[in-house]
Amino acid sequence: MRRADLASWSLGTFHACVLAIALLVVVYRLGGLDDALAGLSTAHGFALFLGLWAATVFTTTRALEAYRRSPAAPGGDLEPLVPSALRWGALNGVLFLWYLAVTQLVAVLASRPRLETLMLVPAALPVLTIASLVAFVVGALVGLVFGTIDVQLLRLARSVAGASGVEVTRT
Amino acid sequence: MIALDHHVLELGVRWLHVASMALMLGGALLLWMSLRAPLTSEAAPLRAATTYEGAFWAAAGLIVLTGVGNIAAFGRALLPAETGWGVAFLWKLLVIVGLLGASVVRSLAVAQLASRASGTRSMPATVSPTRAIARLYGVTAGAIALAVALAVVMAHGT
Repeated sequence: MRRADLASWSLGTFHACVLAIALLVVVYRLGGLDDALAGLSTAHGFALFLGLWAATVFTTTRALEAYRRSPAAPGGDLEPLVPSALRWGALNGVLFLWYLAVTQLVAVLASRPRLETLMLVPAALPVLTIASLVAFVVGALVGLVFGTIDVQLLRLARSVAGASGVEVTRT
Repeated sequence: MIALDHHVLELGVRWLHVASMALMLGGALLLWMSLRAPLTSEAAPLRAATTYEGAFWAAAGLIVLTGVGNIAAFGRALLPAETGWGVAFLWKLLVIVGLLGASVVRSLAVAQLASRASGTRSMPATVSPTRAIARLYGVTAGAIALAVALAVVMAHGT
């Protein structure tokens, strides 16, 4: 890993891990975790989390880059990070949904490699379009929540490091 | 395509889980001890800390990834949230979320300190911020030890 990516790498991985744990807790509390995990192979489960992790680190990196380019960044004002996180969070939701759709298609093709399976793809496109809109909104909301949390974490980091200038350092 | 034995895969997932935890705990303890000692230069420990932070987040992602794999291995035998095991599991997840939150602060602070150490700006002359970072490494090690203790409780029953 390049040293320049430490802020994005830590924040992006933090978001992906907390998101996965929150989902796990909600499903476990509702009593459906054994059913949910029983329908998932180890390889498929790993692929899902790795996809979420990669997409989240990518969008967090872009959100921080957008913030660093904003006029408020040199003064240390962290508020512009929130709208940036909202925008890139929305994209993260859509990216992850498309990744889910592709992995699902690959899994189905691996078990039933037939032309009929591929013929289902055009029929699924309207559903995917509507699901993308939902994922966009959900992603934006999650981005908003994490953006707000990130601002507080960055403020805490500034007080620990005794910093006063640029908050999101490229180190 | 190579077909992996189910038990070999489970063992591999558990090994990766424990190895990731060992990296996080061992690194945090080492840096806690290094940064507490009187320093002639802060550049070298901060370089080590920056390297650790990158590895820490890789290990954190692997812990969550393999942790879900370990839970999936229980299958239908997974105990509900109302049992002693379930309570220990939820506490462990809460400790991990707290650990990750505190670790983001630590990583970002290390990034800022390393940036300043390599730049022209000098460190504050009175209280070195690396002392605060050292305390955070101590807290990190303590939180990981607590998560390990809860894992032991889960493994041996409550």
